[in-house]
Amino acid sequence: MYLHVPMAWLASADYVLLALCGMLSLVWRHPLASVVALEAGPLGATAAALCLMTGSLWGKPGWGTWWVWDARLTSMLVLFFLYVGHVLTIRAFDDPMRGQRAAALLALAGVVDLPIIKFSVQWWNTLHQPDSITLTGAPAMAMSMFHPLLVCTVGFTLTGLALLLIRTRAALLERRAQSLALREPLP
Amino acid sequence: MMNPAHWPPHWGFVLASYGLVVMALIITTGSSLLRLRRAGRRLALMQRLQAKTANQPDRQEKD
Repeated sequence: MYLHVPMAWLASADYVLLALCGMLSLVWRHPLASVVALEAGPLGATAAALCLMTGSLWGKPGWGTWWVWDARLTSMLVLFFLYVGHVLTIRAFDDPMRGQRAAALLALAGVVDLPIIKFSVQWWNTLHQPDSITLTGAPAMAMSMFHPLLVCTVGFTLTGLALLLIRTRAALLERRAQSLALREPLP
Repeated sequence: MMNPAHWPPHWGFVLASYGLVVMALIITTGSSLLRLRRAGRRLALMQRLQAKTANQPDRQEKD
């Protein structure tokens, strides 16, 4: 639980960022938004994959099965596929602008999946347990478990943010080096 | 050493989960840091080469 829940949170939060970057790059054509979207995609895909894998590893002893086509699990799998689609689409075109536009549209369309993931355990009768933590009520778990979960979630969020900043900085440095190489012929 | 009979239940699944996440973290962090280092070195090299080309005509003029 201390890994699965933070990974699910990270995958969802990363997708919100991806959609936000998509909107920024589509509406205002902000160049940094496209770079952040390019780098956030693989990180979110990793978080979604880890969420699915740790959930599956937890499901076997808990539910007696690795996988069920449950609403929560299926909507999370859809999120993973959306990430994979974004990662592939943004790199699929010879003209990077076209790739960025197509990926931004995909990211914006995929936002529909986020409320489905969140409310799937309420809308449908699922094998997955209902939310243990809500914004309004007290957590449905012992405080001795809630505090480590909170620490893990904050820790993984900060790690994800640091990784995103490192990758974005690397991408910007690569672009600067490339533009320098194209500007003048080297000796 | 603790008798395996007293190990926590489903310890294999717990170990597999932690192993997966730690492995993914090491790979992602390592590759990101390596990429940043390479990008920094490449940019520094390009800047040095550009400075060299910018200085070359001056030297030719002196000759």
